[in-house]
Amino acid sequence: MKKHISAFFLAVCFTITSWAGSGNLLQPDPQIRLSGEVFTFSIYAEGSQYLNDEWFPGTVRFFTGEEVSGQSLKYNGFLDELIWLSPGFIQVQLDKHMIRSFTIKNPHTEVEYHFENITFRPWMENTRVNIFAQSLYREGISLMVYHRIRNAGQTTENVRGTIVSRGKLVPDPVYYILLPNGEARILRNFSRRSFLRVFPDHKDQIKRVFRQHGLRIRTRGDAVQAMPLINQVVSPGEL
Amino acid sequence: MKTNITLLLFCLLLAPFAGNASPGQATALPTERMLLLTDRDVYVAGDMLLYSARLFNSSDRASTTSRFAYISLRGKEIIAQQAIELDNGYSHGSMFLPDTLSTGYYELTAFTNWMRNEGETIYFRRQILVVNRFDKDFANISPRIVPDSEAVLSFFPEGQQFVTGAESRLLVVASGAYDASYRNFVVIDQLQDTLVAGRLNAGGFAELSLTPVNGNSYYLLMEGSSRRFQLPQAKPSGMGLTVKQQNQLLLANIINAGETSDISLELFRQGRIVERKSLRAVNGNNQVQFDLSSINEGLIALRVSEKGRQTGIRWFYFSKPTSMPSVLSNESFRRRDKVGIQIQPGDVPIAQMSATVVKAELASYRPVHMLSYKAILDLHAATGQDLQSLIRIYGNLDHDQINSRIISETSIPEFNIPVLSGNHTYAMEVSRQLVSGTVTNMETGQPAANTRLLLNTPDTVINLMYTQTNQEGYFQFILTPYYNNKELFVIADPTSTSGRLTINLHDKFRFSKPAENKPFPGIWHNRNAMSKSQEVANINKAYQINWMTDSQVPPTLYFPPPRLFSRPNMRILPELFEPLDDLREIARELIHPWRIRQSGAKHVHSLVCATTKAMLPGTPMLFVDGVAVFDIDDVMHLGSRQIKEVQVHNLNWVHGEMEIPGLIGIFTNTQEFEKISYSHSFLREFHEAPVHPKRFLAPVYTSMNDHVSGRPDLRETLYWNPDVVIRRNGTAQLEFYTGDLSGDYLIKIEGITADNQVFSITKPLTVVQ
Repeated sequence: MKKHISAFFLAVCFTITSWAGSGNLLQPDPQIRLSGEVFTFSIYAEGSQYLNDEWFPGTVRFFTGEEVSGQSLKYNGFLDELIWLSPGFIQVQLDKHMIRSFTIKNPHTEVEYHFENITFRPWMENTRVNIFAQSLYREGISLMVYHRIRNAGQTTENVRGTIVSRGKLVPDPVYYILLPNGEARILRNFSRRSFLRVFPDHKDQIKRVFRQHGLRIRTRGDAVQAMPLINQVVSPGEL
Repeated sequence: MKTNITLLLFCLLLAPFAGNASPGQATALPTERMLLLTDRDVYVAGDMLLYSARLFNSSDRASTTSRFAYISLRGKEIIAQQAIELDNGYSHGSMFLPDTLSTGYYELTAFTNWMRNEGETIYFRRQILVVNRFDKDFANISPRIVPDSEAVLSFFPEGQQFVTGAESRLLVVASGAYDASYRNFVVIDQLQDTLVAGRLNAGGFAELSLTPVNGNSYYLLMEGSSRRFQLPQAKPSGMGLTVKQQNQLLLANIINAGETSDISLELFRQGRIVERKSLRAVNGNNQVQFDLSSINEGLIALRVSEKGRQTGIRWFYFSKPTSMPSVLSNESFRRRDKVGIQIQPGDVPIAQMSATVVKAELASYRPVHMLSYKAILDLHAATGQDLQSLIRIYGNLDHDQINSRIISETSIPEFNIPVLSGNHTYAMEVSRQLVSGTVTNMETGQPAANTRLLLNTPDTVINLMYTQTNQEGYFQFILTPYYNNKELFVIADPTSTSGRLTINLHDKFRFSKPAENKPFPGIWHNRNAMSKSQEVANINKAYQINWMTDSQVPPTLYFPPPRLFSRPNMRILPELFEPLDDLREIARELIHPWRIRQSGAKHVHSLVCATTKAMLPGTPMLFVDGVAVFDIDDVMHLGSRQIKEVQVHNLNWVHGEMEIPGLIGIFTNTQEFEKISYSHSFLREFHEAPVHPKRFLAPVYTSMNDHVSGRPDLRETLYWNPDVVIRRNGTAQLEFYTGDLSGDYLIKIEGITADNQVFSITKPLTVVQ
């Protein structure tokens, strides 16, 4: 059934695109286009390298301020790349350095995922990391999740008399607290303690405000709820 | 799986039908009209012309559809042209009138790209007079001296019938080459008794009231003319009609000169009957009133019919008696005196407003203001008359004068709401400027359909936009501000077409109608004022006085280019190596993935993929200084001396629908893109950015020293503020200082209220010695 819907959705997307191209009488379709390398990467593994195996409709926003919407997109968490299905049905790994953000929407659940291209400096490190991270809470101090998919090990198996090794791809999301100064701190797990560890200088205030709001952090939702309180307690200038 | 494919195919089949709402369908599309207000009508060459521009839609409301408008000043040729950016349908700016302009009439034209679909007849066009500083002979700008025998006067009875026995109104209109403006006249009867005296106004028309007696003849005698103009003979029977507005009521008086008769009165608004009344009209006056409270402001027509036959019609411009803003100011000031003008809102708050204070004799010839322009647009739609002629006739009239002059309109009450047919070539520039054109095959002369056109501009990065021609060979590019004030290279992609092609851009400033050259009426009477203006211009020139300054908001100069890729795979700086003579040597010695080989008399090249290490299929795209070059032989001669940097992006690249087997960018020290003899079809055009408005900065005299300063202040435009700041309480205060020129000035306040009604207020101001 899912495949039916997916095929139908793809065709609808195509229909809408062709209508927008020729039917707009007031202004022609914008000539902003997506660019990237033909995507040929493959990995023999159990599990998927994508956050979304199906093509989700989405919008890509460039650093230039332009945006292209109604595109078929997949996020590859293994390579941390955005894959686009071109009008010629070619899979294209989009030029990451041109993309400021993108949004994909699951057509079945209507859930939207907004990703941002962020470059940050991990805590106590000098290197800079550039990833597409989904923003869960965006303010002065933000909560982002990097939908990493990692190879959790190799298994060997006999395929028609040949011994081949097969990877095991598993989702391994990494949660970051992104500070206004571009520094990012990893949230190890969903607990009060992990928040306190991220903001050692504000331990007492955070404890107090969590207690005031009766907030126990057990899930991702709780962590998102905690972010406005953190922003209330920790002023960016103090970091 | 089968079901999947069937479903997909079905949907794909539907797709082309969805796109059929294409140009060609008659869809009701918005129409636009421009209005350009200038600070004055008469300038001296070397002056700065100040203007504000406003966009209206088909229902003469302020429009916010197009974001760009185009303004040109032309005589026999174009003198200046500008693109301006509209902010919610409004903008302002200035235009320098070159010192070298010869004395004569010039035409200001304003339009949007969308208006081009309706043709030049709907462009806003108005004349200005420019006097050269050194010209002393104004004969060529004055109306042609014609013998009074050529004077033509037409008489239009109100309601079309001139009947005896009751007071009737007659409109007298002078037409033809004879300049009858400001002429006094008298109306006499056959016994030489003077019945009425009056004066034709600047537009050469006047209204007179007369009670004709049966059997009498009446004549008009005009100052300066020896002719006697006979008025139409009053009829002893018939239905005369006079109309006036009283608040929300239209009062009609039917003057029945004959026997009692049944008549019907129909009130039209926009071609539809909004009210019909029947009346038994007795001999003499018959009063009828129509309640207009439910009718929108605008042009209405009252038609009188007797036994199903139209006996008369009266057009009328109805305006709601809402309280409009008022202007409070003293009328008389001394030189270098502080002027304070208080503007109070009416019933509805003011949304936007402009203010000008200018020498009266330079601004009273053929101005147009917002209030009259609204009526003009209605008249244009109702009667189909040429917009420019209507601007000439009605541009300077107030509400009462419009309703007087409109008596001459006798056409049937049809209203043609401008509807743009589907056949439109030019798209609306709602967010970006457009460049459009056509591509034809040079040999066959036929449109080159489905040809891919690339747009590049010389730069230090590889930039590319592309589009495709339609079946008529038509194309358009939506330009980002990156292309502002840059040279555009429109290149026909030889891989998408064959043969030599001709690319033509639609020139927005190409006009088929010549600029109008009709002398201002009454200009001869003000030749002394023009001589004074010349002296003022000479003094300003000597002291290098200029009241214009740059805007406080600096223009944004950087816009990101439409890049093909963010960063190349390789960068090579040939100057760091031993000198190499041509590209082949550079590729062989320095750029290993780039392979150039000879094939017959030509060279071909290819790239090795950075990821797969296999040869990329096809010819890579080559750019020199950002401009695409399709034949490597065009640039084969470039060596290390000319080349500053080579960028190689050896990946199987996709850009939209284009598949590109790698890219090479050559950036030269010597601007080689200028020297290349391109073997492909291309067009090169400079794209001018929209102009950034300047500010009018009048001097401030706060201390006594300022008052006696040796620097002359000979401003003829005392004050210009195209966007007056409105206070929180809705009022506005204008403050400025008078200059050294004494005389009569006009305060002109024009604007728009929060409920989208326009207002125009003119008040006198005098500067005494």
